[in-house]
Amino acid sequence: MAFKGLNNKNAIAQIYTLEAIISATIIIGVLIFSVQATSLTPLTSSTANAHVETHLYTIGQDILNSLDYSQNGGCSDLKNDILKWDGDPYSWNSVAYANGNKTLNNSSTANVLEIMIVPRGIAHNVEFTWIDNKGNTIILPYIYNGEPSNNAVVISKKLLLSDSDIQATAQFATNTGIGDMDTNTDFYTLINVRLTLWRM
Amino acid sequence: MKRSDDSAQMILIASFAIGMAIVVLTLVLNNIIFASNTASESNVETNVFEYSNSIQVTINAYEKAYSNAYTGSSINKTTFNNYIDTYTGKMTESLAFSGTVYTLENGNFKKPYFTCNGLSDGKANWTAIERINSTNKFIMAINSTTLTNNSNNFSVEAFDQAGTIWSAEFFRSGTNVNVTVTDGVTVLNSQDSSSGELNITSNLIDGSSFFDFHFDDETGGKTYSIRFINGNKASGTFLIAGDKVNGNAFETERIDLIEAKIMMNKNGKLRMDVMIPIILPKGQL
Repeated sequence: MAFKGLNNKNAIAQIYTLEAIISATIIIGVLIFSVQATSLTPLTSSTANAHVETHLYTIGQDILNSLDYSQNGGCSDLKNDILKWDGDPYSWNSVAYANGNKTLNNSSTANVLEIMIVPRGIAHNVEFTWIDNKGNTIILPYIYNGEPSNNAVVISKKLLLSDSDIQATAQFATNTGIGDMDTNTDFYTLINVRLTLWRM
Repeated sequence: MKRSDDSAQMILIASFAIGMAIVVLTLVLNNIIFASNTASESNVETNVFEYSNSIQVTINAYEKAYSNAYTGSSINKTTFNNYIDTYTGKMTESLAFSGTVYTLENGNFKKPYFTCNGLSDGKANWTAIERINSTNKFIMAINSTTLTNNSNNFSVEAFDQAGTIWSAEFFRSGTNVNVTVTDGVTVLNSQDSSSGELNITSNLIDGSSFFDFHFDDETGGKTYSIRFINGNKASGTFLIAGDKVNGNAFETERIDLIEAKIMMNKNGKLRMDVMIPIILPKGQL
């Protein structure tokens, strides 16, 4: 017998104590259950950010890959955009990419971003970076829409510029600030195109 | 209250508590497993993107270096190497920021085969250009010493949805290259070429001798593609240029082949060593 040797009152008291402890355990269990029973899904706040970043990264890679595609014998759209750039940063003003009264025309990069990124409400920057002969990294904003948030993703793609790609190298350097890194050869510079995407 | 009732009540409550605890533990464990899976699947693999981009830029660098160093008949190797050296330095510097060590080793120039990647063991049957509207330049130079003179000879064909509309088959005839032109069914013309130099769109053979290739007659007004058959049976060079159906101009040219070895090492953990045949001056597929 479980309560052999104990008097009746002690046995009842012990049962009440155990009952209280177990009731408390059940209440705590129910509370934990209520919290944990909300199952984790890809949209649960703790996991959503990682998924959003993955999605943004994939979109960014696809955009840069499609812009950097070139057919036989031709320059890619992305390279053409760099070569045609006037050196000014442009911002999205809900109608077009503009700098003051100027708008960014004939830019495949701007067109793709306008179709792919703007309707989805994704904030974005496009920068051209290159390393000068002193080892300094120069960052030149092409499209600038503000400082990225902490969960922004950066997708980079390298592009090669040669003297033969550029009609007037001196004029190009003056306009854009992208200098010729080797005047003795046809090599001009190596550009790193950085696309930054983030949710607001 | 009877003693037996007390015992039963306690056992019942205890079983409730144990059951509840098992349910809660199961849910907690399940969520932990799901969260860890989600976290691992959310990791973006950036290295593949970086590696493929590096290979693409390196191919572009070789094409530019070659075009700049090509004098019309030969390569100025100093000019070529200077370009590649500058490029390698800048690429190494640029990739160092992501913790990647980039190394590029030049191979020797080779005469390409008419295979897809230019190597003798490359894909022998392949399509060079698709959906052509018109071809302005089609020039070939075939090395007779690598040609075969049996069945399954090297040939080049223009074809559309109906099949082959023009072809030129080449086989070795002594020290010459025999060229046999057909419309896919009937032989239209045949002749030996001593040098193997063929200007198909200008109907010239060996530099200045007239030879009707019938190329414009058979392909005019049609949308067609150009393919090489048994490209591993011959080495040589070619240039094809014209306009595609979408209105864009194309130009692919194969004079030389170089095998470049690209090595990338990221933090000592991720490593890529690849040997890439690069077709020069342009026409990498």
